[in-house]
Amino acid sequence: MSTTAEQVPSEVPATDPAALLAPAPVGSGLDRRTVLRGLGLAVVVLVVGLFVPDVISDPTNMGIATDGVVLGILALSIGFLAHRSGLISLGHTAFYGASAYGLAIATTSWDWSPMQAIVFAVLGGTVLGLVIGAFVVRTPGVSFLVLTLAIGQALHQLVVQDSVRETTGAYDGLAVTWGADDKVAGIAQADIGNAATFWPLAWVSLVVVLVVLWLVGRSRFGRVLEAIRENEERARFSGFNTYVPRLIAFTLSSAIASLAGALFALKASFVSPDTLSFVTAGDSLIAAIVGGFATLVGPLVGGVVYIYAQSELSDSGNLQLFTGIALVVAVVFLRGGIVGAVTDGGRKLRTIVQTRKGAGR
Amino acid sequence: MTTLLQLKDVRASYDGALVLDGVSLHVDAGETVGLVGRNGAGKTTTLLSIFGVPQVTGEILVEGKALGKRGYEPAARGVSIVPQEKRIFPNLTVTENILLGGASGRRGRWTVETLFELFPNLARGKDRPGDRLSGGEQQMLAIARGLMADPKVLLLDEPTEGLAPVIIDELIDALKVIQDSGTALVLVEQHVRMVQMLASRFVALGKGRVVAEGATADLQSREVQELIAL
Repeated sequence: MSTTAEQVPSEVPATDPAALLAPAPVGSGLDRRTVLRGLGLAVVVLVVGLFVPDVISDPTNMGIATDGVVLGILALSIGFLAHRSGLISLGHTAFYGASAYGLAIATTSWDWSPMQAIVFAVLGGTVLGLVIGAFVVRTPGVSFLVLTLAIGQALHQLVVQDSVRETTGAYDGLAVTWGADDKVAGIAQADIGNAATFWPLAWVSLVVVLVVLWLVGRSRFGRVLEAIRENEERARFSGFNTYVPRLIAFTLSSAIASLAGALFALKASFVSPDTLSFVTAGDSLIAAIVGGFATLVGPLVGGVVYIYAQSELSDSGNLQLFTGIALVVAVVFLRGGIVGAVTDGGRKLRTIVQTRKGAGR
Repeated sequence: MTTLLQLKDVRASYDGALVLDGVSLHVDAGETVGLVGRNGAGKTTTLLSIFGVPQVTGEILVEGKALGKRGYEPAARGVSIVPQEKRIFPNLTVTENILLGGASGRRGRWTVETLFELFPNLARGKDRPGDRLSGGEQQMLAIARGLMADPKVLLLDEPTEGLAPVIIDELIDALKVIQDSGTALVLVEQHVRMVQMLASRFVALGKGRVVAEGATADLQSREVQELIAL
């Protein structure tokens, strides 16, 4: 289009994020009653979940549950982006790993307290997500997938360079150590590797993430994301600067992946290049798909199932084979993943029961 | 009369093939213009070019001022479109679909309530997802979404395509109400009857060029019929 005539700024040039985050209209999104009910349920889930270590006494199983929740949070970040924006990322380990390394460097090299290091790690991963997102969310489909994969791999290569060995430990990785007097949520470093002790921290983080994703999904912003995913061009023609909501979604998603990375580093007290690897990216994406990313808890279920399967099958040496089979089954037979299949099954069962009740009258 | 929308020597191509070859037309405040021509004449591309799809050369002016290149700008400047295909957001409810039309921030005479008065069918199914609506209801929903941005000009791409005659009559009644509200319309149509009923003027396209224009009464003349071969 020529710009020979006077260019004028558009009267309302871009999508206002504040307006986007306003609740959706009553009856279709977030009314006060729905929010209160959701938050009430979250509090119940939070409290009940804190008693899990009392139920699972076996340390190995408790470890599976804790690791499953951490992988589940990473899978939730990927699932949220895929479900709400239609953007499939293979590079979220960039934020997961960057956050884990950030925490390790801040505690071990800079002697920061673990709480300061957590804030730094999550904020650092989020800012990285914002910067990377500013470039990659412009590209749709396969290009986005390839770009995120490339960025994740680039970061992986960066931390293993000999020139940064002093900072990152290169292939040897980096231990996470902090002062004997410092604690995270009342947990000293000596106890943080104990899954039962670490559990409350992971559980509270998970519930907070679930509540945030639920609120975002049901807000006007969530509806806008859905519209953009369904038909980006029509959304743009309706007056949306579709770039802004996508970038917000990507940044939120990277913040959640960063939280998972910080939790991982705390629990393991060690970070290695594996946190940035393609395998970790693949694991988390598979967890999201197998659990079902169209539902809120699907990726979490996928994460727990994946960690459990890993613990049960890795001794056989055929973990990747079984992972591949599980992925094929989920994609071909369980279109909505495990949670989607259970939900569909429940719906069909209810229909059958109602039909029989009706016939019996 | 104020000229709201003006295209000057607009050229566009898809994959190197020229589809608009210097199209110039204008739409004045409150008038309805019928954009007619054979399939492939460039009618849809003319409308889409206003939204930057595809990128074009030439000038596109809204109230005398150049339009930017970003696809979300026309809505903010008072130009809305009801596209030919994939008109609605299928997973969103009727109400949500309509509210999305207000993304530009422009507010005016049209609200969800007044749009439900214009299209009572939509009011009855306001909480239904878009893909549960009939073809006619989807078309009404797309028009309602376009109106939510309080457009000065509403572009309609084949609004009656695939609809039953009784639904077309309902649609014509609604479009007359929109005309009466002062909104200018650009109507891409295959049905001459529809253009004659609603438009005062027509612009005929052929092979990406304006081949004829004039009062809609002239649409029946042999010369025009031969040019556009509807």
